[in-house]
Amino acid sequence: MKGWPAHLAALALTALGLLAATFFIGRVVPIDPVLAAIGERAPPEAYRTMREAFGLDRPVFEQFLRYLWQVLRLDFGDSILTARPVARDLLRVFPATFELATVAMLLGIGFGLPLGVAAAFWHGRWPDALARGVALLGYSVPVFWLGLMGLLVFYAGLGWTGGPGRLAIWLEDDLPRVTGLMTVDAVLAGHWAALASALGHLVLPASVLGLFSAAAIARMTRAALIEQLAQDHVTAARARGIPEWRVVLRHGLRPAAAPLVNTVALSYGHLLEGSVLTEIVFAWPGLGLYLTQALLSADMNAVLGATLLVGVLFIGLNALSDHLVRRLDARSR
Amino acid sequence: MRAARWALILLGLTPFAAQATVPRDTLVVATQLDDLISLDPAEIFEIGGAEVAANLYRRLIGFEPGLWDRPVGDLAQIWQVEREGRRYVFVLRTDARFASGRTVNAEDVVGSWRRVLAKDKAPAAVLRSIGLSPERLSIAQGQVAIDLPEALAPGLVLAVLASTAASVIDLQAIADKPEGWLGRNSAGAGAFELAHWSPQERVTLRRNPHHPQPATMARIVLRHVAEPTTQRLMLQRGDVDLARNLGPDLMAGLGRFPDLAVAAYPKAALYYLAVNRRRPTLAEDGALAAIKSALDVPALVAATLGARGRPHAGIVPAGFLGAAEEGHAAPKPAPWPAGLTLDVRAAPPTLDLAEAIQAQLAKAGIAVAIQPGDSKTVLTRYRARRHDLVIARWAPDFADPHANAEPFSRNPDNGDAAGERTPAWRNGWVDAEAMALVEQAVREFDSERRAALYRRLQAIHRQRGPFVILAQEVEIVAMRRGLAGLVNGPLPEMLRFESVTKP
Repeated sequence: MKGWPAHLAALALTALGLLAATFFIGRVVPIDPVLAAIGERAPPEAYRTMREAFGLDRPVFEQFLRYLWQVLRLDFGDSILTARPVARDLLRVFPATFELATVAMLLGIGFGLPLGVAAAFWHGRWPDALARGVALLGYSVPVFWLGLMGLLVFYAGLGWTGGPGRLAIWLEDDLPRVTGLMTVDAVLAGHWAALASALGHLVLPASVLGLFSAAAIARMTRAALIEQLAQDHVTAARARGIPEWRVVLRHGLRPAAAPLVNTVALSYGHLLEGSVLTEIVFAWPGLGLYLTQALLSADMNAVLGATLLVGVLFIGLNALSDHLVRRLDARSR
Repeated sequence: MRAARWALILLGLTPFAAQATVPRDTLVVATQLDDLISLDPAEIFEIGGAEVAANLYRRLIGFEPGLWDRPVGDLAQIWQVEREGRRYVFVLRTDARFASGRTVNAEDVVGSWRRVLAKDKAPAAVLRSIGLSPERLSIAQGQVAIDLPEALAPGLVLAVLASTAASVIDLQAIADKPEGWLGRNSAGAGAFELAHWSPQERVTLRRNPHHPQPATMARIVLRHVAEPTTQRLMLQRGDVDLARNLGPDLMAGLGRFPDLAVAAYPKAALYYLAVNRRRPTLAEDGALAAIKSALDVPALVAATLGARGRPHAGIVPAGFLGAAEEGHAAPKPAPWPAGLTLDVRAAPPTLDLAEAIQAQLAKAGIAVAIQPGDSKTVLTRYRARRHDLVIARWAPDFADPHANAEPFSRNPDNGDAAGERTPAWRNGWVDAEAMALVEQAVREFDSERRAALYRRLQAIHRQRGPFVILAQEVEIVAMRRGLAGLVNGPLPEMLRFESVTKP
């Protein structure tokens, strides 16, 4: 790669490919989008008018070119399901996913990294067993089940956390929307009850999602660190009498950072797509739920807009992690 | 010491706990709002929209709760039927006011209906079903006059005027608003006005302070909660007052909670099995007869819908004029070897119904492969007549037997390019006698004789119609014990929150 122009060109090409694939798949889906917009009992005349308004009477390739031209002007069209501009919908649903994904990611790193380090350091002893247990849990337990169990125990049973949704229902109309991030908006408004409620509602879904990231991060950290700790330079460092914690962090973890950054970026990318099942269980109005509903109704403008957003996020995160890896690992320069 | 440390850690977590409960003047409903697309009465075609609009708008005609076959005046104080049933003149109440504070007048009524007709979406078809057109509406001395092209059964005319399509809009309030504004806002004289709506998230209704009988609740919050288990947990916890989408398994466990109660509301929606007579294998009468006689409908409804459905055999729902009293015939399996597909929405309860039907037909030697799909996929296939068998759900547009009799019987053009894609067309069924009966019944003034005509029509349907009507839906709602005053009638426009009281 040769810097930002190359990155931008790759981004544009990938976005174009993504749009084309999504668009043409959308056109072969056996759903009539006109029905979703006006219902099955609309007069035939209304059906025809709507079909023409959607441009569905034109050749598919022409439809795609028109759509591309629209997107270049940053107009993603209107969603059928919400009857609002897709861009506005995305601005509404994405902050919910972003807030959840970011907190989940921080929990994942905060829990997964130390666990992975401990597992590698005490390789074969109980911290290692714990780390492998968590990783197994994270990889094998369905998120849907874990979410419901979390709600059952910590919300309905013990009452320790807030319930589904992003805020207590009766506070939802009181908090002015600025950034769309409930915690930030609550702080901006100085509404401390709303802040407590937002945190209370965030903790459970973020922990559920965070567990899955923690599993990936712990596994990756453990594997990379075990490999590093067996290297000659680590033995040499120990022989020089360097304290053990410095040996692990500096001589073990530092070289293992590159694959870790990749893992974190990938996990974060997946979280930003919006976890459909978590969003369903926790009634969390985010991107995953929006995209799924749109897909099920052949709401193609919404599907395309949301897919493009996810694609751009992924490409952006990839570029960022490439950049970081190059700085961390001299070999990849 | 260790126990004390754990206790401290747990205490540290408690700030996250929900500390308040729902305020006493607010009703919170957990529901599924994914079919809410527009709140404009000229555009609404889905149940969710009609239910919300019922609380935002008033119509000339309404119903007393529980008496859904007897229309009474809502905005209309009295009315007269003149010229042998071709002219209706309505005198409006003087105390009805929009949320803006302005009094409802005849211009609003006529203008609202003309607007629906001009927009020409699904609601326009409802108004046109009695022959309404802009030039047939007039205002005489502050009264609303309708001149119908022909005399129709008064019950039908009034039922149409009580439907969502006939909602009365504050035309002055929307005069300076952009196109599409009314889809996302409200301008009605109902008990509530729209305070907030985030699609697929929540709808908040605020009490209309100018309503002559202000609503008991200051606020109604409809919260979209897609997952039924989550709805139940929220109800258990006290975060919602009412949950509308709990399945039978979730209802079953509610007995353990003394502060929760369950109520059943019969709906007009029907579940039915349709047989596509355009398919070569299904064109023969023997095939249809074999399918109909193989099914033990009461047993399959009991096993699949449970409390959420009552076996029902006619196209006219129970509670409507002319609903047939005959139930389903006992099964008499007659072998008819055939391999068929059954399209169905891949969700309960339709998927359960499909599996039960598959099992019963298998006993008669009819092999059926279930083709599950999303509701829109199934509907698209059904409307394109690409199905063999399909399980569908039908809810009438207004509270009159004609709302079902016509679509299930009328098929004037059976060609593939036909404009009218009624259920009769979708299944390729053309029956001159059935169509003639529909035309006759719609012009019958005497309700006894009219009821008899619908019963005859349903006998034809049972004998040779391409439909097996399975069940009529019952909505089961779980709520806080002591919650009262919820009106939840058979049609979506009969869901009213204005008199709800909480314990």
